[in-house]
Amino acid sequence: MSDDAINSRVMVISGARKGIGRFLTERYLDAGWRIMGCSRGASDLEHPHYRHVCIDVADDSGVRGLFANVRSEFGRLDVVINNAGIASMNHSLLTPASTVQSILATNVMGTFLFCREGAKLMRGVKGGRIVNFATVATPLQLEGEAIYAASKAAVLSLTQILAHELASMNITVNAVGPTPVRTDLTRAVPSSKMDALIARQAVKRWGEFEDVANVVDFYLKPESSFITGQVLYLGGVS
Amino acid sequence: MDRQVIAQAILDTLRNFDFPDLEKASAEFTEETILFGREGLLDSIALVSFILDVEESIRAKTGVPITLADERAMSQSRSPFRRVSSLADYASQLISEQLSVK
Repeated sequence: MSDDAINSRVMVISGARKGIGRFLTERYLDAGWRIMGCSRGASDLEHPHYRHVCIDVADDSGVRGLFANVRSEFGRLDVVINNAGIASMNHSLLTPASTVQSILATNVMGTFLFCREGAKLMRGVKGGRIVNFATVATPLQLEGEAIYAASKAAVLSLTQILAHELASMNITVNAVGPTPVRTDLTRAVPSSKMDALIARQAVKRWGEFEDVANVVDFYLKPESSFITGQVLYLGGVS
Repeated sequence: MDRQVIAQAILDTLRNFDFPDLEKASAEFTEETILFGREGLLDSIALVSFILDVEESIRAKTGVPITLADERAMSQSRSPFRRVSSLADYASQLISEQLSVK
């Protein structure tokens, strides 16, 4: 692929202000992508090819507005990375309904809205790539993560069914399932819990941002057009 | 908003639609053309693409973003997606409602 073709490509990343989202944003900006990022708070990232919008990913009209901005600002869309996510570690019997609602809103509704609006724009360039975020908490059936794991199980189902629904539009939909990575999501969890979780992985170490980026890179490769509806868990979890 | 503009946008979308079946693509389209259902031009997958194309065409022509396949459309006893005329009626109604809210 020529440099010009790569330079013209456009990506939307949710949760781009910090953590893995920020890392991926800077990485793909360096690679020449034009990026529309979003988060609930403002971003201090300044780059000639970066635009940032402050929205709640579960807000339908806000998400529509973001993708309208992508259309008017960039005129096309090639990739959506559904990185925004929240978690709350707690025993089910101690989990308030409001926590359940907010986790499902951000992780499930947010992912769905970005897939839906992203795919509408991708039809214009005759194809695209959507990368969703799963978690090893789902296959590991982690105690204390019932709602988070369930929300990501829903993301998996979305990923697999959208892969079928969008295949005729040459849009692939896949997911990456990170192990614990040092971000705000894991900061509040006691280290003994994290050590126990990591002990259940085949490769017993924390995940790094680069591990996640490696999987995203794989899904975005032109040669990956035959890969869809898949989830790739890190650390040897299956 | 002039209903005729909306009907024309739908007919233009139909004329530019990427029909897999060339025979359908060369048909003469009018407001009475049956879009979906018995003897309709579009199967369920094609209808999805067509609705998105119509939404985009209406947005481009009028500047009003509408969602045609909402709960109300799905629950009507007579589907607004049956004919070009019924879709034009429904889209015009949605646009009027949007503009009156503003």
